[in-house]
Amino acid sequence: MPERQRAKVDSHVRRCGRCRRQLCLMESDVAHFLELATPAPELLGVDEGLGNLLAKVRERLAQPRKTWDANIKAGVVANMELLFGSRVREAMGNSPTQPDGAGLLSSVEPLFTAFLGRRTAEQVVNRILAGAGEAHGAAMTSGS
Amino acid sequence: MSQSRALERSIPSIIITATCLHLAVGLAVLVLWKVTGKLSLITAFFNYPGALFLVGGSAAEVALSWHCWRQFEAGEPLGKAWLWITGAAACHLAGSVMGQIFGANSYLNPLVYIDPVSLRSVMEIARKTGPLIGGPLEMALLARGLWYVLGVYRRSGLFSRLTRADWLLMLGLAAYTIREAWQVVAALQSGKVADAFEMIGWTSDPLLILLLAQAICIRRSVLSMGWGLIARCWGAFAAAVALTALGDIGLWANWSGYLPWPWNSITWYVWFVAAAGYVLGPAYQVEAFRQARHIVTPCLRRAA
Repeated sequence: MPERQRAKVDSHVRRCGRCRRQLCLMESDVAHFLELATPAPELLGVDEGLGNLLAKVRERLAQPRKTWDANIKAGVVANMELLFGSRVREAMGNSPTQPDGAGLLSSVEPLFTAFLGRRTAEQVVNRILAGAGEAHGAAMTSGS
Repeated sequence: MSQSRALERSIPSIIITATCLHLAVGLAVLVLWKVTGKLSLITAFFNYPGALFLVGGSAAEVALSWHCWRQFEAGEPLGKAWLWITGAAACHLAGSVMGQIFGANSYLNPLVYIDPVSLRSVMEIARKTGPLIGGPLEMALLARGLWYVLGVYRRSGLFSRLTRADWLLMLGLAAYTIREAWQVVAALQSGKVADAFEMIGWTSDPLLILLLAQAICIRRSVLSMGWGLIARCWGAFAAAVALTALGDIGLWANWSGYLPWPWNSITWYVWFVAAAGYVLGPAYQVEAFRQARHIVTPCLRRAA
């Protein structure tokens, strides 16, 4: 990608919560993929290693995004309870029409921005995403 | 964990502990005064620890409010609120310094050492201007700040409808203000001559009622949220405003003879609790910033 375009994309991702979340999700997938793609070469043959890798990738793709969503939701709920109070947390946690993890984060991000300012809200969202990504990665590694 | 971080973590608890200790000492001194009959005990308490508590508290209020304002970017509504609140805190500090230090005949007053000749005239000026800066001016700035806060609550969908009890409380307070205004009109009609300081001071009651109405709206929204750090921040401001009104009503009841001893002594101490409330507001917001940046979410804990 040309340098100028790359800078534009970087700047957009820094400001856009939705794209930042997508990027975080993709990075988490790539990290996991790279982890799977490094078998011990001295123990496995190329064909055997590739077969193993493909099997794990299929297994990974077949898994639903439930862990990721649950981790995001847990992060959002913990922050909401700490900052706003137990009733706001209850209202969010018990909502039957609750969106998925990323949707929930998008819906509460303006609340964080309103009461904590843009800078702090960005840090909160990034921490929730990082926490969810790490927990997701750890769950995947322990499952594989 | 570093010492500064441990200290920062407990800013609201330090304020609460200091207030409780101060009140405990104050009440002990009150009992001692009544037992021994030595008036100097209670005078010394209000002239030294009392004055230092009020000035120190308002200085902390300025510093914490300034810190809160700095966390927001230009144009953010709550940033504007904190700017006005910082202005109100600065007026509170100026009023406290004038009233408690320059307006008092104590060894905390530097004029006692520097210029004892002009001490009395400076004290008189300080006693007149202090309550105006720390009264109507502070209230007007705070009311503007809380107006922005209510706007943020309304736009965020966290603004709760007022109950009948809230409306009744507001009506009661409005009746009290009208009664006070009536007393002022009656005094003027009977030939009382008021100077500019006194006339500006009359605006403090309507401003206090406006602040109380805002405090009631904030309190209702805070109750519907539960007690998170942000809710506690605005709850502390609402409590401080309510306590200021209580102190004001107490003073009026005292002067009017409605509050006999020992109940009238409550009005002397209520100002300390109100001052603590004004400091606790920004202290909880600072704590919210800190926790929001460093909180370890359950996901992170599990991953670790």
